[in-house]
Amino acid sequence: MTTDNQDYSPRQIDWQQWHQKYLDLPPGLIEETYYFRHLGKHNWSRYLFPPSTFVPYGQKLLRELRFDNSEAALRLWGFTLSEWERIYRARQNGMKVIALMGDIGALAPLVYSFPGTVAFYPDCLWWTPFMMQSWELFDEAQSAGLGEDCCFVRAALGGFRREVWFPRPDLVIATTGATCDDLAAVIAGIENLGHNIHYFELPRRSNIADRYQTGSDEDLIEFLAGEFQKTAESLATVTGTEFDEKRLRNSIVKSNRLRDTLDRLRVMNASSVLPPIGALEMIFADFSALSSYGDPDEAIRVIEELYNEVASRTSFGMGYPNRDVRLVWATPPADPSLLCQVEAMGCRIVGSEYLINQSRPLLETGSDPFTALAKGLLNGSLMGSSNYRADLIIREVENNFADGVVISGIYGSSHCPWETGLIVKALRSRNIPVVSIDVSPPGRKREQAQSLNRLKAFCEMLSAKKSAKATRSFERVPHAEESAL
Amino acid sequence: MNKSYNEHGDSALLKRLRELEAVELQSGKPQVGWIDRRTPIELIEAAGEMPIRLFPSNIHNEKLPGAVRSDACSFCSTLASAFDVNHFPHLSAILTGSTCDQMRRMCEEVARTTTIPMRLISLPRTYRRSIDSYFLNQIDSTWHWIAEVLGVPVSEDSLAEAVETRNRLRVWVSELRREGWLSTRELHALAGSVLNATGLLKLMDETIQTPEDRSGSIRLALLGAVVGAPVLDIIEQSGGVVVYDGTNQGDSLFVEPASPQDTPIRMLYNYYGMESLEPARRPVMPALYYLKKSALSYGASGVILINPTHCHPWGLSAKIIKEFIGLPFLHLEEEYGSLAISRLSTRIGAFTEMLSMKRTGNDNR
Repeated sequence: MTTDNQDYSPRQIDWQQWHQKYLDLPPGLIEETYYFRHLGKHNWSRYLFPPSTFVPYGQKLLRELRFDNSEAALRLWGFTLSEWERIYRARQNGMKVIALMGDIGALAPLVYSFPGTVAFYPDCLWWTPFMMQSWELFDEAQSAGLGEDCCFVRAALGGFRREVWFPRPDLVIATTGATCDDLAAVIAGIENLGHNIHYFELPRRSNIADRYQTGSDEDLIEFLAGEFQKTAESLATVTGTEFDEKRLRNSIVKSNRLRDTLDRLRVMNASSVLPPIGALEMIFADFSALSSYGDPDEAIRVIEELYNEVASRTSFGMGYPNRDVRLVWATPPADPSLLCQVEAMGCRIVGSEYLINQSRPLLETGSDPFTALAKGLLNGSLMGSSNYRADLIIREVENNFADGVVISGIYGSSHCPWETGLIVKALRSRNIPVVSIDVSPPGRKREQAQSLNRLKAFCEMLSAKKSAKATRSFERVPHAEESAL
Repeated sequence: MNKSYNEHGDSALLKRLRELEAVELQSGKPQVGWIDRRTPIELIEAAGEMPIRLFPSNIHNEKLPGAVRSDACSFCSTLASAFDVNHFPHLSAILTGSTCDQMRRMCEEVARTTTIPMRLISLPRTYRRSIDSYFLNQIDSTWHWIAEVLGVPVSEDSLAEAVETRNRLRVWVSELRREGWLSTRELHALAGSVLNATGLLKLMDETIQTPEDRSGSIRLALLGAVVGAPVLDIIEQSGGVVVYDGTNQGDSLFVEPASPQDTPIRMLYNYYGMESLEPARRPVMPALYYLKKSALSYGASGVILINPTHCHPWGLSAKIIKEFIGLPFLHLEEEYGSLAISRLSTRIGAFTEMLSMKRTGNDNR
């Protein structure tokens, strides 16, 4: 999906600039970009809209973000921002709406093996109060007893209570066990509202190095495969369609195609001389691996187009200038503007640990499909120890030659208070600079200013360090004449 | 070791318990720490070890800087701190069942800071319809682990005896509680005692006395994870009495087993894996029904829920519990280990006073 109007010089523009640029797009391109292609071509399923379309709906933060100027990025934004509308459209077209909670990407391939389903993650409503700069969802959660001592994921409970953010799901599949306590509280609130919930049991995973290990991975894989199987039974009941192994295999292949493209995209983004795409586009691309934003086939097209754009830029050596400091970002920032802020400070995000590691590995295609899903889930960011997560972050740093790590924590979550200190310590023991901040709730400008100050100081320090290192290297290089002597 | 019960005005049971515990602690018997109510304490008893309930004292209320943030559960972080300062120097091993995310992360932290062998048993969060071999193996392998780590011979007979004895203890404690013959203070002491079930049965046999008349007191149900402050004293000073204790120090530890006779390991699985009702489990409704039924059957006229700050399973469920139980409700958060109890006194006093006025009003009508 490219046109002659494509501006080939990569840069980041704001919502108003995209609005102007959008006017030059050919109408044919807009008409040809639509979701749920299996339902035919309709006006209502078009999604190639500029970010400005969503501003009047309350997504105020879009006015502060910077977007990539490619049509591929526009398509990604349109696809991402139309997700909630898409779920309503699915319901209107008789599709079954399945809410997934807590597994963060592991269960979607199973759901999509049942025809006529749409999966979504209410957990991801945690972006919404920030995107809308509104406390509406938090206030609603507060009225159900989840206040500021609960993670931002409480916005999901607000969404369930208001019943205007997404249609009432036909089934909620909630993961319980080695997940965070805050989400468990959110799920209890949803249960209290009378929703049809299937619980997926997720025991913690013992690391080999843990002295208190109590079971092998083989036992756990077998157990989890059984949990996937039970979930398939619940889905069969709700959808009225029998489970079909062949369909699950096909769904896994499709999921792998998306995951593989995302993996290549990440590698290319990190390995190119100049950053070929922004951190915001990368995080929203990464999160497409969770539920494909409701349409797996379209998600593949969107991400493959983004990949092609990045590949093209990289082959021509094009990218954003003046982004020398290479960062790994740990824990997804509930406030996505933070990513733009660090980019404005001269940084680029070359690696991440957004708590979705279970959605990254390619799933086995030759083995029993439930076992394949179980093995994929074993990579979960939060189901193992904090050491495991620290190792994931260190691996990102080493693979992507990062200069430092930013950890964006969440006040009141159950894992951040315990793992942050340990991760910081693990990184520092390897001389990897790290800064840890807590994301401020929307509207708390003074609080956020402190975090931004710290981020700025960190970025300046890394930049200075990098310059000094470069200077020293330059001074150490002998002149040609001296070498000859 | 639990020393939360009042040093003053002890009953015969409490006085004798203290004497026996002092002797037991001097016996040189290996000590095994346990934390959560889902820990199969019978495994420790069957191995002939001394069970030590790991309740940190009030002096260690801050984890060493940099390790754990202040928004961690104050009970979990205080317990982790206690290991930093070697507060439990004589432990041979630590055993615990799995409940919430913070509890497992606390265990991870403790395992990192001590060399004491530790076992965190994975138990189901959901209520399984049948025995699941994965979780059954968790208990079975822990039984063998205890033998290996402690170097003690264990047998199925000794485990069967430990299971049977503790079940008898539960049945008796439940009966006494229903009849009002065992105070909550005594219950806490039994729940945290270093004596095994055999010792506790003998103690009760020797010391149970006719209870004092508390008919004038406001009958309360106490809920929550663990109670660090002297809440029972405060409640009694305010004219209340805890008739049902759903905390991890109270009646919930002495629920009568519901499952039929089976092998010892399967009975432990049934009790700790399937029957244990608590708000951390899903769905949450069975635990809520159970708490409501218990509070009402004990004739409570009000509920006090107290949880350590940032304890999510109880703290974040408080509103649902309140609405579900439907009795007058007081929710308190306690910085575990903090000695600042005036705030608790004021609020509990106001609550019992309100209930007292309500009762007087009803009587007058």
